[in-house]
Amino acid sequence: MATHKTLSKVNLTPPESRARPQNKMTLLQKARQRYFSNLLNSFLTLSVIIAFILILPPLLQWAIFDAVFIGSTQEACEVAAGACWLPIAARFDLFVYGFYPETETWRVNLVFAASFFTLVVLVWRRISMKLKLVYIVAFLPALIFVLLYGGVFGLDSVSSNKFGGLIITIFLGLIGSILSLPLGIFLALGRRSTRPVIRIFCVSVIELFRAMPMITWLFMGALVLQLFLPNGMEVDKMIRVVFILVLVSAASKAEIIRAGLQAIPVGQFEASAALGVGYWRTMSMVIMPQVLKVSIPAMLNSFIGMFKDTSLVAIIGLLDFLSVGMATMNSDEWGKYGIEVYIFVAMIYFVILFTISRFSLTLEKQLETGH
Amino acid sequence: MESIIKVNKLNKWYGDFHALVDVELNVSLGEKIVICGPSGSGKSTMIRCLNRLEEHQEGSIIVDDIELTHDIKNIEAVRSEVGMVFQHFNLFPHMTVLENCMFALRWVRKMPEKEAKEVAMQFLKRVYIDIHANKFPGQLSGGQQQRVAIARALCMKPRVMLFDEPTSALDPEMVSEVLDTMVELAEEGMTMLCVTHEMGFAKKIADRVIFMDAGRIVEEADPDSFFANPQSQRGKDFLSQILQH
Repeated sequence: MATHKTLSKVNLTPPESRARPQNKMTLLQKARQRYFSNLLNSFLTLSVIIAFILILPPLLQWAIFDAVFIGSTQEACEVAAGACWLPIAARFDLFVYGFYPETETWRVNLVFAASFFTLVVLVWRRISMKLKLVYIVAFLPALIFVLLYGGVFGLDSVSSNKFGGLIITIFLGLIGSILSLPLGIFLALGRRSTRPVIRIFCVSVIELFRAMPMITWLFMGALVLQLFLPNGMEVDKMIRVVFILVLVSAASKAEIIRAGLQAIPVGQFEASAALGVGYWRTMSMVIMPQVLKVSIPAMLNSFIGMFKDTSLVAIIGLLDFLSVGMATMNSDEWGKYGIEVYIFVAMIYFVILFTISRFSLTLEKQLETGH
Repeated sequence: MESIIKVNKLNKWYGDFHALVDVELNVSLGEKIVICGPSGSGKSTMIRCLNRLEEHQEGSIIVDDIELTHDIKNIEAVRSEVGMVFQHFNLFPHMTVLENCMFALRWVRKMPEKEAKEVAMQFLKRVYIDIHANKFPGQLSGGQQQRVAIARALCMKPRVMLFDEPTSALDPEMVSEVLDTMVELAEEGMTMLCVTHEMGFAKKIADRVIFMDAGRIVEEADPDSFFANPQSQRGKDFLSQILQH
């Protein structure tokens, strides 16, 4: 026991904790440490600065200082050295509303507002997750359909071949993404089913739509699908396209959800089962809330991809936002100003998708600290 | 005494591995049974068969006069009468403690929300965790979480409680709070089957100790005679292993 005695040591006054020492640096010192800490870093920093100096002034000169903003005809641009933004101003309504009746454009504006409001709802802390889902999966699509198509509640009916520009892009992007969520969930669950018929069916749908280019499917939706429908039955082209987009997007969502399902510990399924709770209740109240939470980043990523992919509908003759731009470039009047039009279209896509991506980051952070 | 669980010639295979071999077990109402044995001996598998978290291939299991077959209605009926506590608690992380306890009351017992809340609070009080009712499981210690898991199972007013190594994932200083809760439960007359290596607990509450090895029940005895004087060589080896420290 002698060895124990020498080892024994009791600290009756353990050291107290104190504040972390402050590391005070001037702004200049910080900058030096961050951007010029070694030769390579300094070189990179200087290169970026030089690139900016070389590119920015001419760009601004062209896009703003020498550009033409005022005027209504092409003549106003003839003499200018810089960009000509007139085609956008002249065709702004076409870009945004397509051929939607002018007196009814407030309905479109309302759709845009509701779409933006969805983002606000998503990050609104005081709204429960359940209510958010109901708003997004049920209310929003119904609202969009009613407002754009009309024909009910005293709204004039508007044919979908009047849709164009941003309407089509937002309509297809949102509806395609939203309606694919429930379908994606069922496909993902079906893929894990113990019943072979269900499993094989779901795997086939997922793999078929994942492994073929979207354009192929759009062609089939626009042209081939019609052949299989009973004689005389005509389905709105826009609805056929939505149908295709929903299936393609559901296939990719199903895979996202499957990954999420695999991340849930098997104990969660067992605990719920052991309480006597049935399969659907377990899935909807125990498993899916956890799966959706971890899948949100991937879902929004898939949404962003989907939103951009809607520009492919140009190929089957729908006039989406990008197509309006292309049509403008092909017109006699504005044919020379393709670069400006492209820049405008790209900027609008960027603004919309960047906004969404920021909101989704906020949502992710909220969910991380949720519990 | 009224019998609550009858297991007859139970056999189970994982692939070609014979996990349970001719297991026979009768549990009377109010009986407390501790199941021990080396790891991989089939203890967990056996009690997980009793509420069909594992499927058996041969033999019969009758719980509360209901035979466990492929019939999902029977399985769910048995599960709602048999409470289970897991090694890793398995609380639902997205629900509060209270919601965890109310969940099955609401959707299996179809209880109105207010009544479910009262029942849940009553059992949370019983495991001394009612002050944490509105916290999420992630905010509690392991011992507290396991007590919530016990309350969650008790809310269903089960006729039998199954414990699958309830203390082996806990930090040492939290083991006793969970065991104390289980002792209280035993003293109230609950029928309990418990897979555990806590010998003190077994001696205190068990009516019977079942020692398993290689998927077979090797020895059954009252705790005093088993721990003092195991009859089988494997029982002796096992006890000498766990009592070494």
